[in-house]
Amino acid sequence: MKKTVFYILLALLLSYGVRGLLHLGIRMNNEGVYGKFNTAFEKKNNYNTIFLGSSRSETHFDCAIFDSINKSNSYNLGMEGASIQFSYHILQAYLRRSETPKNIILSIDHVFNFEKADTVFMYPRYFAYLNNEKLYNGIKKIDSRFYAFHYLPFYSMAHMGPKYVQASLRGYFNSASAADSNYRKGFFPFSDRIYVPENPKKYLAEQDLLVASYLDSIALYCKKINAQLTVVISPVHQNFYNATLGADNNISDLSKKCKFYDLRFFNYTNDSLCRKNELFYDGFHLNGRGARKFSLRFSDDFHNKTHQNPF
Amino acid sequence: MTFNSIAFLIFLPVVYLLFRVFPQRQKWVLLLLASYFFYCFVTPWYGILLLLTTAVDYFAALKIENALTQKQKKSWLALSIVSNLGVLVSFKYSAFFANCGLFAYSKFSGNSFSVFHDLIVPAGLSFYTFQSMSYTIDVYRGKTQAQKHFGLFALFVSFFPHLVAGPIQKFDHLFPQLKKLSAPEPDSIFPHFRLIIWGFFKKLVIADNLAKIIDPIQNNVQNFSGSVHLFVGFLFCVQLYCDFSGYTDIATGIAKLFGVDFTINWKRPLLARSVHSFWKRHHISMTTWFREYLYFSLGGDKTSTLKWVRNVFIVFLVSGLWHGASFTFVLWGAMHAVAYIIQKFCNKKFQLPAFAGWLIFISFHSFSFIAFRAKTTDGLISIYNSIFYDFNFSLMIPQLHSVTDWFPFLICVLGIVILFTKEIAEEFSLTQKFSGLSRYLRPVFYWILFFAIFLAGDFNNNEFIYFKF
Repeated sequence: MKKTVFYILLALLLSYGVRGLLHLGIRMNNEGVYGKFNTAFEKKNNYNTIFLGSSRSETHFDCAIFDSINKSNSYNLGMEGASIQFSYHILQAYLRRSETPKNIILSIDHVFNFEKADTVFMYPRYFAYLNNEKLYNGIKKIDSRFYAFHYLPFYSMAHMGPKYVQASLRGYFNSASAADSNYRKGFFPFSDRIYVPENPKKYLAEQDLLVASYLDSIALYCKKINAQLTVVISPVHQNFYNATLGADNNISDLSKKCKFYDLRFFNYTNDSLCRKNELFYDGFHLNGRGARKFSLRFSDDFHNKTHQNPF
Repeated sequence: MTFNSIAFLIFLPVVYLLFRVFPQRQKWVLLLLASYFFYCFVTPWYGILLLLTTAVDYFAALKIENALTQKQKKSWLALSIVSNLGVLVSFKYSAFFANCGLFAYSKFSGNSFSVFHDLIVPAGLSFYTFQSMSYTIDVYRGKTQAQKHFGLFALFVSFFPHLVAGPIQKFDHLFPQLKKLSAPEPDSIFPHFRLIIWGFFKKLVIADNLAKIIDPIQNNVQNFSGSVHLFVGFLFCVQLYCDFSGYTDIATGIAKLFGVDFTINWKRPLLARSVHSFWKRHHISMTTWFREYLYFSLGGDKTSTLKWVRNVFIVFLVSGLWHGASFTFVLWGAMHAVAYIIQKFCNKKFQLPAFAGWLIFISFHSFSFIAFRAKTTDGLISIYNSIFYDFNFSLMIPQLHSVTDWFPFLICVLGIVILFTKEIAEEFSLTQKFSGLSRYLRPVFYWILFFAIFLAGDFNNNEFIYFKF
C-alpha cells in the first residue's frame, strides 16, 4: 500500500512541475498570440487607448494607423471568439497590472447580444494565465471547469495537446512562427484573400439579457475608472447583415444605450465598405486590405468626432 | 464506452475497488454486471443482441454435448454457426451483398439502381460472435466440455476488457480464470500499469497524431503524388498497429488488474521479415481463429498443392471480408494471399538477408495497406495510378507540409522512433542483456511516456479503428 501512495504522490508532484514548466515557456513568448496574452495579463503597460472585442476587433483595428492619426499609444486586446462578457473580464484582467487607459474602444457585432457561450473559444490558451485572479474569477463564471483546470494539472494537460507544448518550446527558444510575426501591437490582419459572396441562411438575433447586461457593466466600470468608452460596430458584409433578422433593432437599442451612458458610438454596418467583396476575407471579417482602409476611416472619424487631440 | 473516454476513467476505478471488496464467490457477478453496463452505456439495445448470441451458443453447446447422434450434433452446431453468422451478415454485409446483386442486375438490365447504405454495426460484433462460435465448435470437436453455468459463460463472452475489440480468447484459456477470480495484491499491480501506459501512448500519441496527417490526404487522394501515398501507406501500417495493439495492451493490462491473463495478440509485426512471419505476429487471436476453424476445416496444407492454394485464398479473402464489406478489403486479402503463396515457393529456393527481407516486406505491407485504408474502390484506383504513373518524389515534402505543421510531424516521428526502439530491444532481448541499465531506465522511460500521453496525446475520444470491424 505504501508503494501505491508513493506513486500517486509522485505523479501529482510531477504533474504540477511539468505543467509549471509548460506554462513558464508559454509566458516567455514575446511574439504571436501568447506575446499578446503576456501583454494583456502579465505585463505592466501604459497604453492610453485599448481596443476590446472579438476577432473582429483583433483583425480590423490597426493600432499603427490609429496612433499615427490620433497621436496616441494604443494596443489591440481583441481576442478570437471573445464574447462581450469575456471582453469585460479581459479588461479587468488587463487593469490588474496596467495603468488605466484614457480611451477604451469596444468593438461590438450587430448581433452582440446573441453571443451566449458556455465556454471560451480555444480555452486552453488561457491556462497559463490563471494566476491573474481577475481573469480566473471571470473565466470561471463563463466555464465552471476552469476551477478544475486550475487545480488539477492532469485534467488541464489533457485539454492542451501538442500545440501548447509547441508554443511553450517556442517561448524557451525565443523563436516565432510565421504567423506570430504578423501580430503588431495586438492587431492581427488576415491575408488579402478576396471573399466570394454567398447567400447565408437568415437567422434571428435573439436577445440574451445576461449577455446584453455586460455592456452596462463595461460602461459603468469605465465611468468608475474614469476612462472614455467608445462603441464601434465595424463593417460586416452586407449579405450577412441582411440575413440577420432583428439587426436594426439591436443597433437601435445599442445606440440608445450609448446615449444613456454618454458613450461615443460608431456604426459602419451601412458603410460603402460593406458592399466591396475585395475588402472582405469572409462574411464577418475584413481582409488585410480592408482592415487598412477601415482603420484609416475609423481613425479619421474618431479624430474628427473628438474635434481635437483627445490625448 | 471506450477506454479513452472520461466515463471509463471513472468506471474502471469504481469497478476495481468494488472487485476488491466483493466476496470471492460473487466477483463474477460484479464483472458480468460491469461488462454489460460497459457495453450498453451508449446504446442499450446492443446488450440484448449480446445476450441473445450468448444464450443461443450456451444452449447449442449443451445440446451438442447431450446429443445422441452425430447428425443431431451437427444440427445444433449449424444452429450456432448460422445464428452467429446470420447476425454478423445482417448487420455487416447485407448492404454489400445487396449492392453487388443490384450492380449485376443493372449491368444486365441497363437500369440504374440506388445504393443501399451500410447499417450501423454494433461495437465488437465480429469479436464476440467469433469468440462465442469458437466455443460451440470446440464443444462439437470434443476439445472442451459444455459449460452449465450460464452466468459464467455470459461473462466469458462479455468480459469488458476484450468485448469490443478483442483479443479473441479461447474458452480453455479464459474460462478457468473466470471461475477462480481473485484480486491481486495492490502493490503487485504496477507492472500492469506499464502495459496500460504503453497502450495509451501508442493509441493517443502515435496513432491519433498520425491520423491527423493521414486523414486529410485520404480525404483528397487526387491532390497528392504517388510518393506521398506510398509514404502514407507506411504511416497507416504504424497507425493501425499502434491503434489496435494499443487497445490490446490496455485491455490486457486492465484484465490483469482483475487477475485475468489474456493470450498474446501481437509479436512486433512491423519487424517481420516476410509475409509468413507477419501472419504469425499480427493479430494472433484472429489469425489463430481462421487457422483453426477455417483453414484446417478446409484441409490446411495436408492436401494437394492446388487445393492448398485454394485454401490460402479462401482464408485470406474471408479475413479481408471480416474487416469490412468492401472490395478494397477483398483486394487487400488477395494481395496477401498471392504474396504468401509466392513466398512459400520462393523460400524453398533461396533465403534473403534479414534486413533485405524486412525492407521488401515493409514495402509490400505499406503498398497493400493502402487498399485496407482506401475509402472507395475509385479512390484506391486513383492512389495506385498515382504510385505507378505520378510518383514524383520531389513533391513529397511540400505536399506533406501542406497537411501538417513541423511539430505534430516531429511528434509522430519521435513516437515511431520510440516504438521501433522498444520493439527492436524486445525482439533481440536487449533489455535482458543490459538488465542493470534497464532496471534504472525503465521507470524513467515509463514516467516520460506517462506525461507524453497528457502533453502530446489527443483526448478527443477518437474511436479505435478496430471498433468498426
